[in-house]
Amino acid sequence: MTGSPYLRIRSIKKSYKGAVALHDIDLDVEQGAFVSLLGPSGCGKSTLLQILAGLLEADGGDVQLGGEDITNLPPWRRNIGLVFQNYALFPHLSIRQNVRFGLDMLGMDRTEAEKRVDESLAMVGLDPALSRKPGELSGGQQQRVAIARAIAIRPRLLLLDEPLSNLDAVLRHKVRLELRELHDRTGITTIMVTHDQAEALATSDRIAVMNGGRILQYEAPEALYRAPATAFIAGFVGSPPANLVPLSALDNNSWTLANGQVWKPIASLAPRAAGVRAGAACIMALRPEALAVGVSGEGGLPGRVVAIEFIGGDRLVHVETGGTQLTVRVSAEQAMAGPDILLFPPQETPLLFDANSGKRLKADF
Amino acid sequence: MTSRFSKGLMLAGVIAILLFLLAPILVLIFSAFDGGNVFRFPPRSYSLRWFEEALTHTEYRSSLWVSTVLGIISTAIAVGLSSLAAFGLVRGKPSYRLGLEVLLLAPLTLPLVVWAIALLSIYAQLGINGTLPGLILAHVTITMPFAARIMIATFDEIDPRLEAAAKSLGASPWHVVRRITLPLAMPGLMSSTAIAFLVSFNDVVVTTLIAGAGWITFPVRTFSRLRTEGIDPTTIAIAAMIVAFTIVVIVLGQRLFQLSRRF
Ligand SMILES: Nc1ncnc2c1ncn2[C@@H]1O[C@H](COP(=O)(O)OP(=O)(O)OP(=O)(O)O)[C@@H](O)[C@H]1O
Ligand SMILES: [Mg+2]
Repeated sequence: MTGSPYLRIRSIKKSYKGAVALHDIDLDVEQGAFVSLLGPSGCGKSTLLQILAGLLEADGGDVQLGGEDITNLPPWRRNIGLVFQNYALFPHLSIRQNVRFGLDMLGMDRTEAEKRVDESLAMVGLDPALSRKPGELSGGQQQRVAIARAIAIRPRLLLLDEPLSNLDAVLRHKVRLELRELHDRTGITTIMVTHDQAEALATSDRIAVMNGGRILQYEAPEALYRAPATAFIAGFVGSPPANLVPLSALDNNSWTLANGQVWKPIASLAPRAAGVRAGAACIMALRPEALAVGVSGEGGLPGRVVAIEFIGGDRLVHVETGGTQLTVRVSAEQAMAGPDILLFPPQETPLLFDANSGKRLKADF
Repeated sequence: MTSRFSKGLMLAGVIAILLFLLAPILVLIFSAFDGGNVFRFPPRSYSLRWFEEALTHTEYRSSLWVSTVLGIISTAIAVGLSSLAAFGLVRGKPSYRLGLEVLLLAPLTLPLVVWAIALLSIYAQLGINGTLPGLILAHVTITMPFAARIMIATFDEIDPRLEAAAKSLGASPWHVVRRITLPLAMPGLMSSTAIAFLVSFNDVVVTTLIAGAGWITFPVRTFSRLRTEGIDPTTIAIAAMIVAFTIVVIVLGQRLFQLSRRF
């Protein structure tokens, strides 16, 4: 990569009365990209978004947008569109007046502004003739108005704070596709906050996974899924997310499971392959959809079926194994033999993490 | 059937309550048109003489004028100050918010007479007893708690994210106040203005003690005449005119308000 990125965030810090909400955040976003900030509740996603919008002052660090340092620019000079989780539509203004608000602030002339309002409303799939007040709209419509209002000003950056969280499951699925389409049509660089990993995987070019005020990993969705940097990410990404199995190396070839049971896997999953010394405590991440179920064979992980959930097309089988409960995803047609089964992890290099730091252990071949 | 019955019962209840509330006003208005020399109800002969009397009576006219001017000035000051204070308390969220809120309500916790005596001794020290500034200050003091209470509740109800959203759409702080905060606070401002004006206009106790003989407000004059001469029908006529004026203002306000909502 040459030249500096479109949005460049460096060492952004923020504390609330001594409680650290953001530690040294660095993030680069390319022009026209759709990036998600993904993380559990309270990890600092909204705080970072507010800082980007200029509504909150960081304790340190700087933000550059399009080569310009905007760290100390007040929000009304930033030209950054922001969509709040609760939409924050102005209740005393009509829908059109809401969308026109930013254009009035720019001092745009009336006919041009009205045209832009029509365009923006059409772009989010709303009837431009809508003459009602925000309070009379459904949640989904309000959300569209909020987006139309934010894109009407042709922002340099569009920030979405959990834009889908107030919608029901069906609508959420539909709107997330629309959001991505809208992004592709307008080309506006977009950052979306979410704590729903499926939403992030489905819409984003890149995902920044956050936890405890830090960015743990910043990757394209597939890379994040295939090579999570920490056990936390492995246990967070995927539907359902990966099973985290605590184990410690007994010797070069076998693992001791949580309940003391010994497991001798195939060579590629053995401690030696991962370069783990005897006695080291590790976590192995096993994807529910990558586990094969059988009754006999080399290197199987013995387990006992405790529950089966039918989820349409697939079944989720809950298996008690070595003191840990795992979830396995199998197709609904697959027959399940007896309660006692063997689980076979995929042959590739394992997703193995250090139990203390949570960091990925890379085999050094 | 039952629902019809209960609806009828409810209607009867509403009418009873309205009658209870409105009866004194009706009595007042009817009596104002009475031709007799003393207050009577029901009226026995009709005449407009007390209205004529009221309009030509210089003492009442000057008192009404004093009350109105005093009410307008002290309401403007009280609503202005308490709006600023309430906005600061609600948006700034200082750690002493609760303490200050209690302090703002303090005048409500003491009997007005005690409060008036305290003000009297302070104003005597300052040498502003019996002056208009002293009287205005006293009225601001007694109306502030009401105005502040309403304004704090008003700003508490306005979602700060609306202001943040406006800022992100390019609105400077001045535009945020003018286009978002003020319009949303308007109902609260209206009611706090109305309440403050009424509290000021109705006050007898504090005004009697602070104003001395220099500035006699309408209720003070009425009250003193009541004690020396009994009920004066002129007062009744003036009261009837105040009621009529209030109704006109409310109807106009409603009309304008609805019109403003339509656009
Ligand atoms: N105004 C505030 N005062 C004090 N602490 C705050 C404030 N706002 C946020 N915090 C704290 O900062 C941390 C990060 O908050 P933030 O709102 O950024 O989280 P989030 O990732 O957006 O969470 P969510 O998914 O629940 O919206 C949390 O621990 C929160 O308690
Ligand atoms: Mg949040």
